[in-house]
Amino acid sequence: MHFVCDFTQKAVVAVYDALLSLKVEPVSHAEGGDIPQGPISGMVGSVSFAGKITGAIYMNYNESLACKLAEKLIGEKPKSWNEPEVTDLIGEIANQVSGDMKRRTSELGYTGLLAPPLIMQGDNIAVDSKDAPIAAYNVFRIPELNEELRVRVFAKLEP
Amino acid sequence: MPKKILSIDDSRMVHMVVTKTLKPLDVEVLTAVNGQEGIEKAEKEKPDLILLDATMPVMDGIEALAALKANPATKDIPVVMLSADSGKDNVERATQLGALRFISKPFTGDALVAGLSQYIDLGQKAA
Repeated sequence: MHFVCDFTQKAVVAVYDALLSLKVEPVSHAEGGDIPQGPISGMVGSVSFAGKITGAIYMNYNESLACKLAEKLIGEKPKSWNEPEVTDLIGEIANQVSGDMKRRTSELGYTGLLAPPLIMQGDNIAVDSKDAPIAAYNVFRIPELNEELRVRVFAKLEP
Repeated sequence: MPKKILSIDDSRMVHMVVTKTLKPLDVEVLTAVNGQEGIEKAEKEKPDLILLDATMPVMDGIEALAALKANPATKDIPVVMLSADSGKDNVERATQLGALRFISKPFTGDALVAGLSQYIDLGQKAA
C-alpha cells in the first residue's frame, strides 16, 4: 500500500474517532488503475493541497450517512442534507482528514498548503485522476451507523 | 466577569464544539468566520484569548495572526492556533509569528481545556 493511501486510512479513522466518537473500519482499497472509474453521486467533501505534495481528497457520502453524522454531532436530525450544518460538517471532516494526512506526510518531508474545503452535490460528479501518479480509493464501514464511506485521493510528490 | 475567548474559524461546527466544550467554564465564546472578521472583533471586543484556525477563506489564520501581532490594539492578546493544518511548516510559521500553542484538529475537549488553561484562568461557571 502506498503511504498516501495508508495515511488516508489512518486520518479517516482518527478524525471520525475524535470528532464524532465513531469507529470506522477500512474494508477495502484500490490503487492506480484499479480504482473505480466513472462519475460519482451524492455529496462530496473535498480539499486540495499543494506544495511538495500536490493533489486532492474526495470524501463521498450518501444523504443518509451525511444526515446521520450531523445528528451524531449536534444531537438533532437535520431535515435534509441541504441544511447548512450538514454541509459544514462534511467540509470540516474533509478539512480535518486532509490536515491529519498532511501532518503525516510533512514528517516525511512532503509539506504543502491546504485549501479551504469544497462541497459538491449531485448525480454526475466527474472525479478524474488525470495524470496523478498516486491514485487511491478506500472504502470504510461505519458499523454504528450501518453505512459506508468512500474516499478517493489523487496526489503527486515532488522529487 | 467571564473570560472572553474569540474563536476564529470558518466552520460553524467548530464554533459549536468549542462553545459546548467550554460551556461549564466561566467563559464567553465570541465567534468570527474568517481572519478579517476576527481582527475586527478582536479590536472591538478585546478578548482574553484568541483561538485561531489556519485555513480559512477571505483571510487565512497565518495572515490574520501576523496582522494581530502587528496591531498595537491586539498584539498582547494570547493566540492559540486550533487547526487541522498541523504540518511542521505551518506550526513553525505560526510559532514564529507569536502563536503560543498549536492544538491540532481533531481535538478532544480535555485537550482544548488543558491547552487554554495554560494561558488564562477558565474558572467554573457559578451554580
